[in-house]
Amino acid sequence: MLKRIYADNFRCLVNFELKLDRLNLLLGENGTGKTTVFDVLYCLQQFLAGNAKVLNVFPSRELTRWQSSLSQRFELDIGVEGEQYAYSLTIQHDEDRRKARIKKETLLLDGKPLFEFEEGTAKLYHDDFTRGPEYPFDWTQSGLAVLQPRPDNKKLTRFRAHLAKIIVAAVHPMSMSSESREEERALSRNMGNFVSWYRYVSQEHQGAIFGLVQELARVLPGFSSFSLKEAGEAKVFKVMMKQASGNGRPEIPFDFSELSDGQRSLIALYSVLFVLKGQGVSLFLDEPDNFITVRELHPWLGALKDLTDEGIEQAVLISHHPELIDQLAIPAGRWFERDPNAPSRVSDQPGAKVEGLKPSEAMARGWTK
Amino acid sequence: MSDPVLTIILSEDLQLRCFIRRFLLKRGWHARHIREISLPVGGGAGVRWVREKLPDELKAYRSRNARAATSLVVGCDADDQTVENRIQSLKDACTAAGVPFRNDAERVAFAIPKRNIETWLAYLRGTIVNENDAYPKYRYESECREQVTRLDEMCQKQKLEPAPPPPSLAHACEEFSRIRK
Repeated sequence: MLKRIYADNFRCLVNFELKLDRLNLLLGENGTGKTTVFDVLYCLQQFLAGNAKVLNVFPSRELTRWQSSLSQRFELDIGVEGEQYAYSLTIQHDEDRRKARIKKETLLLDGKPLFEFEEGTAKLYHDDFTRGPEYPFDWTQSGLAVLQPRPDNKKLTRFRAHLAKIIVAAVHPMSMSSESREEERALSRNMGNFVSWYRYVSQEHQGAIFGLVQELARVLPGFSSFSLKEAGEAKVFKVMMKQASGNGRPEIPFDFSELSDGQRSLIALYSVLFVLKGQGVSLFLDEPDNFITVRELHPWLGALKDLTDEGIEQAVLISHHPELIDQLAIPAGRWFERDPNAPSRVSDQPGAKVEGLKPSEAMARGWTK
Repeated sequence: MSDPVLTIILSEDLQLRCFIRRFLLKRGWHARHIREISLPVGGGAGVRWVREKLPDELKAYRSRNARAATSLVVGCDADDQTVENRIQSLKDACTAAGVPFRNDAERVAFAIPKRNIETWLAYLRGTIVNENDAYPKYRYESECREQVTRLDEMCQKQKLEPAPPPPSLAHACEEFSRIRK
């Protein structure tokens, strides 16, 4: 579970720290930095996932505009099975802002080093924290990301595996294609590759698909099942819908893109919950309520809360929706604030606790201060 | 952080709510500073809804007013009651809820047209009115624009004319002085 994220000198985040629990709602007015926190997490995931170059993931244009410092710092604290990982990355951008290098990158477990990179030298530690090899390494990419799994670095690779299980996404149904050229393990930031991701997870977690289909039959009137139809080199995602009148009439296959934005959003949101339950994933969802009705939002949120006890390890949502605000703001809110061209600030103290009012109403009045 | 809401309009009647809002805008309020509380669907028992909501709104007003100057406008028709009776029934509702009624210093104003807002609108069109008869309703609430302007002009002159005005309107004008900017 991601317990803490820290960022300094990244857009509106300056010396910014956010502490998280199993279920949180990030609240605040537009432009207060909520999505930027998700972006930091997503960038760190990309950076640690492979051979990404630091300047491609953290371009200099993302430095805080009103600061002159060229140094950026990011930290993640992640708890796994009772042990605490602490990851830290310091990036130094050049004066001309066309180059960047990693100044320092470290991974600690319960305060003891597993990996250190500083000034061009990487130091590895074994799972028992004894010193391993020390070697020169590239300044422009993560030394942690490229390490191959070995019997004596399981603790280090467990951190990477855990980070990969965090899904940072926003539901953009207009970006979702019906076609898939290949399976994709990771859901993209806007869920545009939903069908390719579904192709992958439906193979990996076949048992979960039955539960998903059953649930969707309750959520979407007429919904029957999914199928992936061959179409040349691609596969097309079809949604089988029953006809309104009576038994015996054939179901109608609809292209996924023929469904409404709301229907596609619901399918994506329920798929994420029901296919991934039990997998230990963490969900960071940006405004999941955008396209779905109030009638559907409540049961989806209920399912999410239930599943955070059944293998969805953590759920962090951003929302402006009154339904979500009224349910989660007081027990699980993280309240973002920001003055114009000033850094984001966050508090876990309910800002909208006005006697006699629902939190959403207090927020609608701007009475959160 | 953007401007907070400064004035809450708690009113059962759509026409009355529209009239109050437009009047506040005429008197210098900005739209961002006004929030209207909507009556739930099936609003036949509108006065009862105002009675139920008022204690919570008073609590919220006091909570907020401690930090920033805020005001509350409560609107409901007197119907066949007197304005005083309506205010007393609102006071009783607060007492029953254990919430102190507004005191002299609080920026809480009552707009209670008798018989209803259509009486005021007819008067502001220049009709000689009484507070017992029913006057025609507008098809769209926004049609009250000219009457709002007329009342604003009267406020500037500090004189309601033609005399005598409906007593409930004169009462509301006195109430307005509680929240005047």
